[in-house]
Amino acid sequence: MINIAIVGVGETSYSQRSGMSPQALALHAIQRAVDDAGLDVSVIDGIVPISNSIPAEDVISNFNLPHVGLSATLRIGGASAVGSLGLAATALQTHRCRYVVIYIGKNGSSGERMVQRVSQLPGYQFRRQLEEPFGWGTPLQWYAMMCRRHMELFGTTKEHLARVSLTMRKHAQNNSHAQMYGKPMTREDYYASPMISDPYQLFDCCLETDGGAAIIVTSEERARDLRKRPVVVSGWGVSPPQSPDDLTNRPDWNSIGLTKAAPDAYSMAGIGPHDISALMVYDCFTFEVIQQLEEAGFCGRGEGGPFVASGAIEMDGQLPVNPHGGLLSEGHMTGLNHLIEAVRQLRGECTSRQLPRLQFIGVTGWGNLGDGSMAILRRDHRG
Amino acid sequence: MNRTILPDINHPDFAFFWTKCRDEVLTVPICQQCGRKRWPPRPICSACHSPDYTWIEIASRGRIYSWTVTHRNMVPHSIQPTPYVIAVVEIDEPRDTLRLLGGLWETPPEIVHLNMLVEPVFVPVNDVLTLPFWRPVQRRHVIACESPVR
Repeated sequence: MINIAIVGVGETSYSQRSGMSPQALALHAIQRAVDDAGLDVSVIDGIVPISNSIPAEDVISNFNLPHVGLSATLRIGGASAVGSLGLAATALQTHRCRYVVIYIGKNGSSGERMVQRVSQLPGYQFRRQLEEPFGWGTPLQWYAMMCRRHMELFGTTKEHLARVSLTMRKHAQNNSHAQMYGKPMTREDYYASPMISDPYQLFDCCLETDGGAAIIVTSEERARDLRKRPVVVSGWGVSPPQSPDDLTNRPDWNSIGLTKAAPDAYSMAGIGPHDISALMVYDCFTFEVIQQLEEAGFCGRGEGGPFVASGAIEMDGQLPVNPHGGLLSEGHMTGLNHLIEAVRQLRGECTSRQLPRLQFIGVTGWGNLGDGSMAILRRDHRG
Repeated sequence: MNRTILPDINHPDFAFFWTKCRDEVLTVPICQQCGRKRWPPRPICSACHSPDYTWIEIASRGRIYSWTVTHRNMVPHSIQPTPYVIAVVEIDEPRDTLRLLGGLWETPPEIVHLNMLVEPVFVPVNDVLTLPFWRPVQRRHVIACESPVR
């Protein structure tokens, strides 16, 4: 088996109104990722669009790619970015491809918004027939319900949710690329934000975003000849939750896809949660950070609230989370921006928000009704 | 503008459920091979994979498994005005635990709590559709069904 590495990363600016097409956003991001790797775009022979991105055919046509050995998309929403590393690994290990691009380009704010994608999710017949008639039909409301149960069972509080939101906003103040850069938030601001579906207020929700992002993946061996120091994918895992098409009758709401994906990732990497220096968590909403910290093994089940309240996820905490500000304060690039941040941190490119002494960085994904993924990244061992 | 989304009462997997709601009865599919009840309605039994099923009436009492109070006008919207309570109601049948998603009918959000005992309230929406909402069980009912020997 060969190791795979991320050798190039690229993004457009993130905004609420790009004024560009999703095609342009994706293509610009791909070009930047290829430039970052020091490659010519014609070497790309594997294409993995993230769930709701523009199709592979657009990329093939625009760049006039001579040979494509694989194009495929995982339909697991926000778990797709991390999960696509597994898809790329499979393509690279069978020598079907040499350089795989994983990308997204979307107008998630000014164009098709998240709620409009619900009809494309698994089990939509149950949503449409049995749930939407009662006014329960958006991810925000599903996850608010999961959060409420966790609060009742374990004593998780609004103050814990506030701490997640405030920490992500604070981190974004060190990232000029973040949409919330230059817009610090106080606890009073958080509590004053409009209540949407209790316990979620506006500032418990991530930023629907216009933008593009891309990464280039190849074998570790090839990676060593390229421009930037490679970041190796040490382990990955992808898993659905129980009853992945229906949350209502899922036997155990505490268990999510990550509950299985995380042990798979640790096992492949030969490490455990204590070896992780920093974590990029798929922070679609505040409680999901708390739940993923628990299910990825960074604290016990039910202890995620006190864990974040202790300051553990701050830049100087025991497990810094999302130095870039995450989906909550940088932007929603369906988790691809989390992989990009992990790569830049491991390369040491993050200037004012650079974390010291990094060994392994974990990256999680969360999609649909709880599909989970996790990757573990590390520096290449050479030099 | 009405943004309520009503069910398709002719959908083959759900039609029987909606028909019986008009009679103020809650029903679920029951496997004809292994006898397991299931919800939501699925074409095969996920326990024994048999495609053969019929429908059976279930208990008309449940407990709140979780809930959310929606304050903003969402799409889809409830037939109730905001703020409205949406809840997952857990129903203990002899062999199976089933959960139904529903709205709490005219229930103040501040009285809702985990494991609160609720009963269905059938709300006719038009000539052909009745939606099953839920409401807290009245105290006399609680005594009657919870403590027969007290």
